[in-house]
Amino acid sequence: MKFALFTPHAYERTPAWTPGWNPAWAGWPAAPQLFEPERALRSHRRTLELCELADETGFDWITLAEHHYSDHLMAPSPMLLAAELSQRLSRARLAIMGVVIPLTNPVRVAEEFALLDLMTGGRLAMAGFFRGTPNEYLTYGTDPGHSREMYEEGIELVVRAWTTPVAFGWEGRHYQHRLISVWPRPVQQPHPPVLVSGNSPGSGDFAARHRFSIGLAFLPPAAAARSAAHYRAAAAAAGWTATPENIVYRAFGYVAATDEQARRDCAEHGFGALGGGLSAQGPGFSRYAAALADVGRRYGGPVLTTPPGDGAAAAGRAAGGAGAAAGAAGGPVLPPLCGSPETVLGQVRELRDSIGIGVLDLILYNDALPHELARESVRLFGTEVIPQARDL
Amino acid sequence: MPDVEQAPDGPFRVFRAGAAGRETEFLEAGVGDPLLVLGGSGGPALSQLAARRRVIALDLAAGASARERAAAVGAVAGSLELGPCDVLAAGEEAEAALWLAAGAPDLVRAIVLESPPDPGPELAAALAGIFAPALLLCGTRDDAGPAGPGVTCQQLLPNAFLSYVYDAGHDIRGDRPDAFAALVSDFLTRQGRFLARDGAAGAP
Repeated sequence: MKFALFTPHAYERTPAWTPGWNPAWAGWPAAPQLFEPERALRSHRRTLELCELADETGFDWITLAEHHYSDHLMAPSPMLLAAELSQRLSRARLAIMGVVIPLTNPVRVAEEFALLDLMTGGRLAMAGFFRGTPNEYLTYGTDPGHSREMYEEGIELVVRAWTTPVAFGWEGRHYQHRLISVWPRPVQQPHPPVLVSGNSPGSGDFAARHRFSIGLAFLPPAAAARSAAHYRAAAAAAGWTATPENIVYRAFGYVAATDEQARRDCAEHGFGALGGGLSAQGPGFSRYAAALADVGRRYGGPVLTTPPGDGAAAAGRAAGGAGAAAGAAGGPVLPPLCGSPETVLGQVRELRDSIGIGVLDLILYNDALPHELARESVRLFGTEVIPQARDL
Repeated sequence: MPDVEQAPDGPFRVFRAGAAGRETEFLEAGVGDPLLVLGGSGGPALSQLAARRRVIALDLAAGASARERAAAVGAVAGSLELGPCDVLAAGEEAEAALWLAAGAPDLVRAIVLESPPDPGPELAAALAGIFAPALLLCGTRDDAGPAGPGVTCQQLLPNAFLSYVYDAGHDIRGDRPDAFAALVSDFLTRQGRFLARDGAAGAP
């Protein structure tokens, strides 16, 4: 089994008790005037430190995602952070999971992935593509009603751009290019492994049809197991066998010396589920509510909205997870993987067996968790869990 | 003068041309620069092209070789006194269009090939001598990709442009009629300059 450290590139936000802090500016979209350069620099250094620690302690991949306009993270362009990490990691491979393809120019994405594959020595672990978080359809003016079509066409265009040996044009439903001829091509031929979302049956069918790997993100284990089973069946129907290597599961995790301390740390810091990082929230958010409701309707899924003061618990209930029951009961939402190294090893085994995953993509830190605790959790996972879980 | 036989649906009417006993049937509609259409489906894409050009769709004899069909096309063009023509050919008729372009370079101005097959060795050798601008259209649901015939033809023809039409199968004009007509029209009007967008030229 392989293990990845998911890197939100967290921004350690200004505490609410800071004089002059205005709660109406926080949340999504965050007011740019909240931004503090020194805080961002420190947050960036800490992300690099955690990635290097994961590299040293045996994580297989470092994974990056794309998110916009949130004061919880600094991830508008995962390619840029990946470029920096590519020069710092010695053993771990980079995986982009993923680019929100409908928000971008697929030809540019094909070019950047190829360049990143070169910069990693042909070791890019995954070129991932997601349809994105619904509220992010307000960022670049993309029509959320076209998001599914743009996602599927955009990915096909990227693969054509990587693999077509001559200059060509693309007459799409959403993308029109008269001349495409990307240079450099990917070092990995014909192209790096591709990962797409597998959360829903439709996305699993698309992945199976194109023989792509899937990422299952923030699904409760039972739902993830159903999605994985659907994907394996669709792959078989398409004439190939999807292996555990093709299935990546992303979940929150936290490791401490003892189970009790792990639970206490997570509860105290509200670490364990999608908090307000990606959701529309905050007192200043009401002006966006009508547009977001419209986005949700046309995207085909609810927009994650979080009432002020009910961050992690509400989001945790929406996203499920092992701690969802506790969240529903009004208690803290705990990560699906939480406890001592021994306990977490057992939880890893359960996830592997129930879902059939080959890669576990761990969210071991975010803006809510103090850096020292995150560092210790990454260290313990790398040195105490991974060596025993390696041969699972 | 050709014989008018009937008026089917759309703007097209049926004609016959050529020597007695060896007549070729064709459909014609529109006015303007002539566009010879060899094979492929009918429908709204051809009607859209006929709104801008004189479209002459030939029904070539089954069983004849590609070179024989090319000769028949040349004979019809001659009897109609068309002068230099653009040629749009689908599927197997792409071979007839290429033989025509190779043998009568003064007759063929620009070529559009819809879902062309892999050229055989004899035709492949002739492609290097065809300098007419050519647009090669392949449907993403039909084309074999990096090793497909679209790529092969692009490599062999010195002045060819390959374009993938997304979400189209073999019958590109049937699957994406609007995109097909707009792209073909823009290419025939501007040839190689079609790579640069020009809203004023009516390009999509």
